[in-house]
Amino acid sequence: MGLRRRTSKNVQRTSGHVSGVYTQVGLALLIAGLGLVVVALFLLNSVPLTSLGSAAVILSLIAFGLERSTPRLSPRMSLLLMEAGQDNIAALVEEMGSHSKAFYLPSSMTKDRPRAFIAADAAPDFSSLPTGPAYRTGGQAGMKALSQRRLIVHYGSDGHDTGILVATPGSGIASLLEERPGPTPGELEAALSKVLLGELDAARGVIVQGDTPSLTVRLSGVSAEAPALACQELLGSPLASIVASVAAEALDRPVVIVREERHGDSVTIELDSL
Amino acid sequence: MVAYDLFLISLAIVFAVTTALLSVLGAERWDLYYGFYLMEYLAVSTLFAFLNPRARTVLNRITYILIPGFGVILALKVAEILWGVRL
Repeated sequence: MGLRRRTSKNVQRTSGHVSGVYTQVGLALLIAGLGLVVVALFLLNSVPLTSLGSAAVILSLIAFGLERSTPRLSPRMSLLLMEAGQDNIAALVEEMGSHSKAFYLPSSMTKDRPRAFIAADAAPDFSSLPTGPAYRTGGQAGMKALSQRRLIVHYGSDGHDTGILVATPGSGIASLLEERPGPTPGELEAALSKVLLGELDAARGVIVQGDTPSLTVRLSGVSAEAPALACQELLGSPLASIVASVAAEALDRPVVIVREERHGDSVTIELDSL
Repeated sequence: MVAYDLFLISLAIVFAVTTALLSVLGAERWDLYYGFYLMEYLAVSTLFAFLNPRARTVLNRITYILIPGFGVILALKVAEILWGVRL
């Protein structure tokens, strides 16, 4: 049971989305703005104050619009769903007895969403893995297994080596990216900013340094303590998992999380691509 | 949604500063204020290009509301110049 971690405490600690907060802000701005326009226009005859009122009305329109674009699923519900999925993965990994780090695979290799491959062997032979160089050149049994979207993957020359192909928090990222990001650090940084700042609201800044095969991703202003994944030793934290999935998509190569460090609200993630 | 909050706060600050500056400079024209607001809205929206597609769709729709507003002001100005009618 060592790998399984209950995350119910995290679920309880996470506050729910305050429904309609932008509607309330919008209403306040609309009433204040219209009031200011009427008073400034008819009583004070002041153009600057009337303009300020109209600016408040414009802001109220934006607030109403933003309310419509906020996610409908509450964070608490999302956490419950994630917890259920992660418990299942943890149970599988525990049964398999794997201790090797997960390989984050791009969607081009899985012919589906980005996924993570966990080898059963503690020290897998890289050249025989379905993610290794032989995969690229074809003729590898693992290639077929990966593209068949199976959970259990048999690979190696005799097909006796086993691993599992699982979905991670980063697996849904491909649908959030309108197009596959480019492989340069700048393009990866832009894609990560879009996902982590604009879509998930998980950080306030992203910097990508280094060059393939080794990349360092620094996240600043990480907003909240994400719940620990059930098998975090293998998959990394949820944030690292998302970063690795986006990096795998951008580089179009398997990616491994080498190291992950957190200092206050900053997180440094070191990635290696194969 | 921290990004949404930042967007709204940035725009509110920019609008307030613009109004104060133009007021100090003695601007008494509606079209000037509105034109500045519109330009600032477009600029700040561009800076927040990383917002999710749903939010960007909403912001684009608001642009479609604001630009015709500028057109109305422009039409009033043209009417004022051509026929001397001030509204």
